[in-house]
Amino acid sequence: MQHSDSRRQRYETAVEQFSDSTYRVAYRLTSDHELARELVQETFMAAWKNLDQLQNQEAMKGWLFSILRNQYSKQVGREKRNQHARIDNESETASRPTTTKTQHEVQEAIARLDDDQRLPLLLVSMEGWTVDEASELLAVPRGTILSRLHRARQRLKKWLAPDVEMKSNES
Amino acid sequence: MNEETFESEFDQQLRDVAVPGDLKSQLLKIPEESSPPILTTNTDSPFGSYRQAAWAVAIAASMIGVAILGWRLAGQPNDSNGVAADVRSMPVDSQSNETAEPDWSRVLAELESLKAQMATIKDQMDSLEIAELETHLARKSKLREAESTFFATEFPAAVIVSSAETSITSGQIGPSIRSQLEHVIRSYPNSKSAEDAKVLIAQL
Repeated sequence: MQHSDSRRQRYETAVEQFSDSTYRVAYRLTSDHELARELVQETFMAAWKNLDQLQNQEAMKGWLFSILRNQYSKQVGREKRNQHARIDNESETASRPTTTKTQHEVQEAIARLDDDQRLPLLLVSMEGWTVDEASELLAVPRGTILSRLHRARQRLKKWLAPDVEMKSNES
Repeated sequence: MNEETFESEFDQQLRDVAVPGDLKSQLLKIPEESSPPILTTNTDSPFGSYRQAAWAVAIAASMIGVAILGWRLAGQPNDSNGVAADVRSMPVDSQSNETAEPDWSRVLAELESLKAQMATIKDQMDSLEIAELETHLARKSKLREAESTFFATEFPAAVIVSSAETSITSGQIGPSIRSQLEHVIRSYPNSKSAEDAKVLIAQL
């Protein structure tokens, strides 16, 4: 009984700490709020089932995101990537009426990135992971993460800078 | 706008994702909705219930089997209204017993008939084999005869003519060639070698 309480507690802590960040990454990966919710649910469900395998609580973040990544791969397989570039306009409009155009463009640009560039960008730039953490999760060298980040930023700049410039002029 | 401004604005926009308000509560319900495998016990597992059901079915089947066996051995069915009553009311004299048994004489007759049919088929097969063998032997005998005729007649003549032809071609014409060719014409008058010999004599 004590074991199950402790287990439950560990799970609830993980939800408190990482549900928002996993959702943000999930949304940026899927470009769809419903798919993102589904992805996060599957991630936490898998985490709950396999929580006993995680010995070190401090490794929770990396562990959860590795599950998220696996679940995303499965989801992509299911969706055949055809949902990838789809933008959830309704949800976005409802949540961010003032920045709809910009958010739409940002999401579209992220969706255009290659898979190997997208995840480092989301983890490091969006979630504030260190390069080493991203390197460990994605099982690629630190230098590779840095170069992928650089390439991703260059591409995004190329796609988004004119719009951002226009937005600055308007304001 | 410089690069740093762009990047900081972009990172901010990147983080600007609306997280659904009910997400956390939904995730916190997961443990209640799905019990982890480690907390399940053997008695609650589907395997346990299936095993129990299988045992129950096996025991019931055994009991039914034993009941049927007992009923047959005792020969005294309790059912007085159904089929058992009809069976009990049937005559059990020796005649009825005989009719229940197979007609052995008829079975034996059928067996004999089958045996005769098999013997006929075997004879037919044997005669076919013999006929085929005879044909084969006759063909072989004819071939042997032709072979021996050839060796007895054509072969020496052909050798003589061939040898003479080689000698004539190479310009080594000996005194015996003409007589050998004439011997072929005389000894094998109707053979092809005799014709060839005539042609060669004309060239001498």
